[in-house]
Amino acid sequence: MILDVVSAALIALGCVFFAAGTVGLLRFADLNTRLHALAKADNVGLGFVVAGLLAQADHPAIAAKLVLIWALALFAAATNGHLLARAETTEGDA
Amino acid sequence: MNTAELAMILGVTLAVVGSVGTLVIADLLRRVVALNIASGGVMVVLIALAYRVSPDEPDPVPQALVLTGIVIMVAVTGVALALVRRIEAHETAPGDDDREGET
Amino acid sequence: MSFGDAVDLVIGASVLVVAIVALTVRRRDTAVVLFLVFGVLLATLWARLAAPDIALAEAALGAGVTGALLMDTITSSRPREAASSRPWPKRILGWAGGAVAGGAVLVALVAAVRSLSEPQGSLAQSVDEDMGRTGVEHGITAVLLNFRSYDTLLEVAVLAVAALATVSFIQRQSPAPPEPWPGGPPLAVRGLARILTPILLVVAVWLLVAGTTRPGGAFQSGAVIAAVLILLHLGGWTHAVPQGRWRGWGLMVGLIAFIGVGGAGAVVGAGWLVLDPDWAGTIILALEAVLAVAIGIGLATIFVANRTDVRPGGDDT
Repeated sequence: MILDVVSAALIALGCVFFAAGTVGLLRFADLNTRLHALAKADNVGLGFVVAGLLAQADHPAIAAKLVLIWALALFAAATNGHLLARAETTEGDA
Repeated sequence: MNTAELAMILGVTLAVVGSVGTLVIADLLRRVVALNIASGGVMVVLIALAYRVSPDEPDPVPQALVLTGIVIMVAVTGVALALVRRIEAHETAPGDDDREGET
Repeated sequence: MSFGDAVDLVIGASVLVVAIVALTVRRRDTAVVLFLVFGVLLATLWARLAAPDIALAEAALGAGVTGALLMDTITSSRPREAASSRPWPKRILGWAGGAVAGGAVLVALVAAVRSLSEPQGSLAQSVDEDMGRTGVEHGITAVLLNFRSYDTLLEVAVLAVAALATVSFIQRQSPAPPEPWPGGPPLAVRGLARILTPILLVVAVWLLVAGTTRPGGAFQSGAVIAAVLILLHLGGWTHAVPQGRWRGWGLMVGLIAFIGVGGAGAVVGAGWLVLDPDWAGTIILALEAVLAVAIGIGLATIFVANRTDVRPGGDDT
């Protein structure tokens, strides 16, 4: 019971960060600032959702897989952000 | 109207909308996207049929069909995109063709 | 209406809205990105409709590999605006005709859906009854690799033919394939390839073995293998995806192995593609491994072939 409440609270917090990231994506004017907003949604928002799901995991293996999913999403988001920002600066120079 | 029926109506709508898009849209890449959306709609119908049998133990046969279908759609999209590149390469440089004056 | 039903309704409605918007926007890159969103939403719909295998495959293949293919086509050509070549009366006529015909077909299909009789479920029952003889415990794996292994064989053949067709459409100005990045891959991509390749290979093997008892299997594993090969190719290890002489062999290995197993069954066992219940589990695992590698190589070849296409000006970015 307590675990369910904790899960719900953490996942709701994650959703708040996702909402903030989406608002940033829609309202920010520049590519770099939009990437900044999306990074918050991806890293922190997903982290909170995963933390909420960790409270529901029955087995340590499931918890390990959830954390692995979060780590892989972090890698992907970081590389994508870097490549997008890099492409814009080289495009701007050339 | 239960979940399976609603899902089937959604699938049918997606398939029809995607098919109309494939036929009517002029831009080639958007046509490929429309084709993928239409195939997604057909897959929704199949999964809904599997779900209808029993929500706890869905029928594995339509699900196996959809799984194969997803892989086939990716391959078809790859071939279609190669064709799109070829067609657009010829359209933007008609003078490079072997046959002069043909677009 | 319970909370679960409300969530399903929201997911279904958003799938429809995103699909319609993806079809009606004018810019190509917007349409592609919206299609990616459509793929992810569709994956959540599959999860809600009790199809976790399909959700895995849709996320990996539909949104992942298809997204990579479409993104590559967009970035290597100028973002075409709405400059349509057809005069606007014809366009209005086209859309109106499509709407009328589509509307009529839609009404007929919805009527057909409403009038469906109760599901008999006889196929599901037969699968359930014979599951003990298949050597696996997961329904979809049993159907794909044992009951209907012939269909899976044909699917491998279709994938090989599609890869060959894609390769044959691509022109090159020199025999050697051009580099994926003009100045060498950036450090971020090389680092990502180095970090992710071992992790993803372990995930692929896990998905393969997990397919015997729970959602997973050769197709999802093949998608992860395709991702690994594409990542290695983009990271600078251009020999990861077979090119040149080895390309044909890479595409054919899955098909040949599959036919070999079926033929061995015809010669030694009970018939063409009939799996003896004692050996079925082992043979299915071996077949799935070959299948996953074949799907991975096939999809990666399609991506690399599209990417190494040379633009008419001789410039490839």
